[in-house]
Amino acid sequence: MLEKPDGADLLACAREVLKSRILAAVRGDQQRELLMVINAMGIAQREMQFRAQATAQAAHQPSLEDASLTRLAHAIRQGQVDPGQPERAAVWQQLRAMTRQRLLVSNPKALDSNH
Amino acid sequence: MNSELQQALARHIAAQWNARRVRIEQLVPLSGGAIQENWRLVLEVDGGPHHGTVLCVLRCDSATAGVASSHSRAQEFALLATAFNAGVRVPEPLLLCTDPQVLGRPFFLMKCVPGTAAAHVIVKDMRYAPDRAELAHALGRELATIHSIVPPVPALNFLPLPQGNPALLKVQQHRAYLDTLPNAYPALEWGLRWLERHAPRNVQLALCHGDYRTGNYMVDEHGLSGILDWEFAQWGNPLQDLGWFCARCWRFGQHELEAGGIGLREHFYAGYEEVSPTPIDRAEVAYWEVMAHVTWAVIALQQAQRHCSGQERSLLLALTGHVVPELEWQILNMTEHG
Repeated sequence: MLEKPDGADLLACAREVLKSRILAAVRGDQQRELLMVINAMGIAQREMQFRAQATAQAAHQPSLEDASLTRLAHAIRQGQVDPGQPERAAVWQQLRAMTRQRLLVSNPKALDSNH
Repeated sequence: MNSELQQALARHIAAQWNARRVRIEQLVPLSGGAIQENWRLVLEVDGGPHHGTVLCVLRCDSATAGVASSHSRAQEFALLATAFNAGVRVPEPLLLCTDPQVLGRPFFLMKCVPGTAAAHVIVKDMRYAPDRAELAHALGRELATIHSIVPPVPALNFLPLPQGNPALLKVQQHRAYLDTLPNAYPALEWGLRWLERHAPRNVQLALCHGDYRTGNYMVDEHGLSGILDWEFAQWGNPLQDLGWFCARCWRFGQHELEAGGIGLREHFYAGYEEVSPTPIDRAEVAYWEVMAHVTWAVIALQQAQRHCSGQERSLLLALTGHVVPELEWQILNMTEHG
């Protein structure tokens, strides 16, 4: 019931104005700051998209904010997923999948080239 | 810096340098970190051992500095002086003032060094140090000279001597920091557990620069002009600095140039081994490159936390937190096996 265009859309528009209409007109410190603004808005946009998708597909997305993450972190620290442990490969894949999602929001370019 | 402070500064310098008079011809702020300020000074000195024109940099705490985890100005000055005396190419330290009556905060002067330290410029603009093989070589030589400084050094008695294995101590410190955060970081825990299991047994201590990377040394059109930013120097395992310099996360996009994004690893190593009495354990450097990624991730989390906690709201700090996922990605790739 909130007004459209929604926050994600507004963000996209505002970011495009900054990028295509304002960026060319500034130099030096202001240019650096504007690039950071554009970067931050891109992250915010992608996070909003991600959350929208996650709500739609809740059952299939690995949870990023679960207590199970804390348990996993603890198990890793205690050596329960060390070489020789049966779940090691699966846990590595899980961590990689989670990190990939985090990267898709924070810095998708990092996934582009041959990493 | 207002004229009253400038006058106090000029009088203080004149007294310290046995000069009849010191005039500040130029005083220009340089871009610095959030915690320290840097000013470029042109001084006209009348009399005494520094008679003539002196181009120097004044470094002091910023007026709004919070608690810093790095060294005080006096300690940084002592590190600079120790390095200078050991033959490391650093800006020559000129004067230290811990008397708050002069500027209201401690400061020191060091000679100006020509060129730029801007990493993104250096890695792309070949007018700076056009002979990149020589630059890598020189950076290796300088680092080995830094590592020739070993404890005990009386002027550096403020540096704690690590009790135990420096690598395991770092793992412990990083875990302790992660425990203060509301969220868990299982990918970093994976990296830390790997670092714990693979910790090198070598506990040979030397002076580590602590942030030896592109961005912390000056180059001009001739080559390397000075090593900067000694605020994180500590006694530790010297391979830590080699790992930091060659870590993928510190190549500023030049991934193929494994030595600091400016040159080939073997040129950097060759320069180091020219000076160092012991050869570089290449496998151990790989360990410290993993440590570098984990350490930088923890620092990034600390900086993001300053923003999120409200201590210092800043877009730069907020965005710094967002470098962590890429670091986790690299860490996982480097530690999949073993």
